[in-house]
Amino acid sequence: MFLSTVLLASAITIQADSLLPTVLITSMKEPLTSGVTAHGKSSIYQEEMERLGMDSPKELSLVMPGLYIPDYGSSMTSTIYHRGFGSRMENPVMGLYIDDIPVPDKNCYDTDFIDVRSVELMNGPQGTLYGRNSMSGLMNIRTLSPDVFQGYRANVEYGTAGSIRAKGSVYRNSIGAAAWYTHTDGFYENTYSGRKCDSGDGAGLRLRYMKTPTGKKHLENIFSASYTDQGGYPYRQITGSGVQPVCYNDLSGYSRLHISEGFKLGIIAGGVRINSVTSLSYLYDRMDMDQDFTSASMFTLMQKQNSLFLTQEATITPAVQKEHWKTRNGIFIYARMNDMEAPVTFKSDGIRTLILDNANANIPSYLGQLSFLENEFPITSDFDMLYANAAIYHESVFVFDRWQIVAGLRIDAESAVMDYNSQSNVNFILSPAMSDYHSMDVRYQGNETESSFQLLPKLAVMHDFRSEMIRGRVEASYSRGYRAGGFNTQIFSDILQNIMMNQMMGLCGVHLDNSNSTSAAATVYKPEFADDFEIGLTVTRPGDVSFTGSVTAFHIECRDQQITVFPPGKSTGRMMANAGHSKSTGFEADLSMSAKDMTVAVSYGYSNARFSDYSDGNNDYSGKRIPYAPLQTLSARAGYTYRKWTLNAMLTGLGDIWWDQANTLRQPFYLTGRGRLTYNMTETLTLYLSAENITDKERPVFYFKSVGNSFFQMSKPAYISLGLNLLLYN
Amino acid sequence: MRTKTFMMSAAILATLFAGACSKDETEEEPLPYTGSSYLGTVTVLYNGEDYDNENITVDLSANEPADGTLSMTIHQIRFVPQMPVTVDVSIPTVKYTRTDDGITFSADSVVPYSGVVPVERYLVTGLEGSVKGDDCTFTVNFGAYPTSFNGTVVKTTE
Repeated sequence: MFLSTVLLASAITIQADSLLPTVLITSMKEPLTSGVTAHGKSSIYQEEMERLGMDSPKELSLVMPGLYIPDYGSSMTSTIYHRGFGSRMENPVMGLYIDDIPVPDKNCYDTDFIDVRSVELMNGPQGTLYGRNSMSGLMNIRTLSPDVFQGYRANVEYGTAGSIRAKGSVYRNSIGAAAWYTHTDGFYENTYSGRKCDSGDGAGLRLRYMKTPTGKKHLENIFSASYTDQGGYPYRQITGSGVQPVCYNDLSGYSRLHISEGFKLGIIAGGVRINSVTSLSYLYDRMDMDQDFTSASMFTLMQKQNSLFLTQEATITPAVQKEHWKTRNGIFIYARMNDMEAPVTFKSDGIRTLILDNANANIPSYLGQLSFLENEFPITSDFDMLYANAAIYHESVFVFDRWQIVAGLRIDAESAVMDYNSQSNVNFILSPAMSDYHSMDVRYQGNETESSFQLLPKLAVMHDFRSEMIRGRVEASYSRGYRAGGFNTQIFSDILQNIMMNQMMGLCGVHLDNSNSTSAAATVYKPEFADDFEIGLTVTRPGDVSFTGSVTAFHIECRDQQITVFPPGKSTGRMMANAGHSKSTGFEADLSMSAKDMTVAVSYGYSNARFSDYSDGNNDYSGKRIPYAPLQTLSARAGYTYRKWTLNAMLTGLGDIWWDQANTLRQPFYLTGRGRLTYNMTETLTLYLSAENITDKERPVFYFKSVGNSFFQMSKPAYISLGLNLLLYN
Repeated sequence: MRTKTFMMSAAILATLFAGACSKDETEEEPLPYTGSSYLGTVTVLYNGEDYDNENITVDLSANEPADGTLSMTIHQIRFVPQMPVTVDVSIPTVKYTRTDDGITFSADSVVPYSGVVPVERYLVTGLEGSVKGDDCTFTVNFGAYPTSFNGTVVKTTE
């Protein structure tokens, strides 16, 4: 009732970027003609994000139709679902750029927002302009810069679970500097230790320098660094008596250091405009995980990686575009060097139940029983990976009166190589036949390569219409995008475990049926492709009582889908393979209305995504819904200002979500609410009180199975926070 | 006793390895037809019916130092259809005699090995067999399982 009242009676200003640049600095991939993106897009701006208390990319799924970024696990698990597609593992379906600089790894997607000026989600494959890993769309984040703001900003906030957030920034002359710190005591108790398992700290900074020494030259440098150290993985086992408390015994957590340096250069010379972005990123992260998520000592995983990324991108456009033919050419180069360690440690319960029980069940009793000298032993896996990508692209916009045609093509080539080295040593005995332990070294070494070549076209036709009352556009488009191929590093411990078991049993003269383990060659997976067809309508009614509405219908065919399968042989793990073909059909709708100071916005997304052809090696799931991706997303937001008080509220809906390929587990559609009450103490100081998950209802946000057990992560409880904002203009 | 068993097992494996990979460096004339593998069918009489194991490899290898015996290894056989796994069975000492066109061999009351493990359950009795030309045949009782083999030599190219 409270929310309904707010929605009906509230008033906020219309969504818009209220900050205009003082010099000509735009994204190197801005539309060639005003508003011509050839695809539907959703945008949110700084003012609204701050009113709604949106502090991280995961919260964008609250307002972007068709987008869902569930908050589970840790900051490493930035799984993105969009238009029915997504991936828990490896490459994302959506690319992320911050100030024209690509965020190179999905592990870095979950970061804290500070001074974000706008977020633009371009729906549909963006392969032509953005290439790899923009198969379902691309998120473009722009942050505050000294050319649009001069002054100081600060924010401190204290909330539930001892959560602290502090931000500060200064923009003077050509320099912008921003820093932040966060802390939380955690929301989920691990009943095994009696402590919160998801406490954490984070900090970061961004330094931005920009200069336009002449009207024909622009320089900009953006340095950013962030560090996160946190617990996580509050997974709760599902038993016959319900969802049990979080209870695991081994270290679980995540830490990450990400440093990014980006240099932007814009030059107008010889009748052309050249924009260049060079970026160098370093990522160190480490994940520790109790893989069985129970109090038993089964097995743990530590995954640590050092990655260095280099990207170079440049676009060339005519300094003065022709009236009827506007063009853009681009070149893109990408390289990544990744050094990864991923040891799996088998502990006493895991050795007994996962290895010995399986082996002894197959060894004839007259031969005896296997056992190990070690109470625990590691299977180490080291990987050196190198990825390289190069692409050229072209985009043309033809303008004929109210008709516009956009055509583009990207030629994209990618190659990757992986050196792997997995090994272990154990001492085993077959009692009573053997009198002493036998030492066994198991090694699995070699290298694999993967390469691909793509043509990524797009074509769009748009028609603008106008009357005294409204302006609008209808459009139809086709585009293709892809998700890069790669290697299943996580399956190597299973491969070695399989080899180890076969060797032990072989020494006893025993051979299992179907004992062929997965080979390293089978761990290579190819790119995944999406062909997208969509039609859209956008209508705007300017004036004192204005509204903007848009609706986009889409149909996506996904081929060579990277999806988990059960490897052949006796492996207990899963691996990625190009085993699926899927389709997603749906639509997105946005509506915002404004009358004087009042605005109401509603966003809705519907994605009917199903497997057309998918067998995981054990079962055929063709025709089933793609799990984890919601069928519907809904966001309704509004606000009301009375003198110095402003009340903002948002109602979000999500569901249905199917949790497994067989579609036997389903989360029905549900609603949650959040709100913020703001009091403008002075012109520079603002006090606010925020509430999230107002109804304090627990709902599953993630489901998986491990070692035969099923687990849910439940949503965070209600969150209340009190904060203070400072804004000073120079 | 168990140490001896394991040492003996290791010796058998070493012998197999040496027999397969190295030529005889002694001055004795190499034993024909050994150090070879034979591919064929092992038939086990089970519940009054023949149970065939097809595509079974049998290795013959002269023991060293030469003492008139050879070792025989039968790879990945099942004695009964219900066995959930296959086993390798090695007979470490099989007496042989040269003939004009090959060898004949026999053994009785020998404990075979599965890998490095002695398996008294499959005590070898009444082993009789021969190698003639490219063909190898034998009959044997593995414990309670009367077993026979017919196979031909696996040609290797060097």
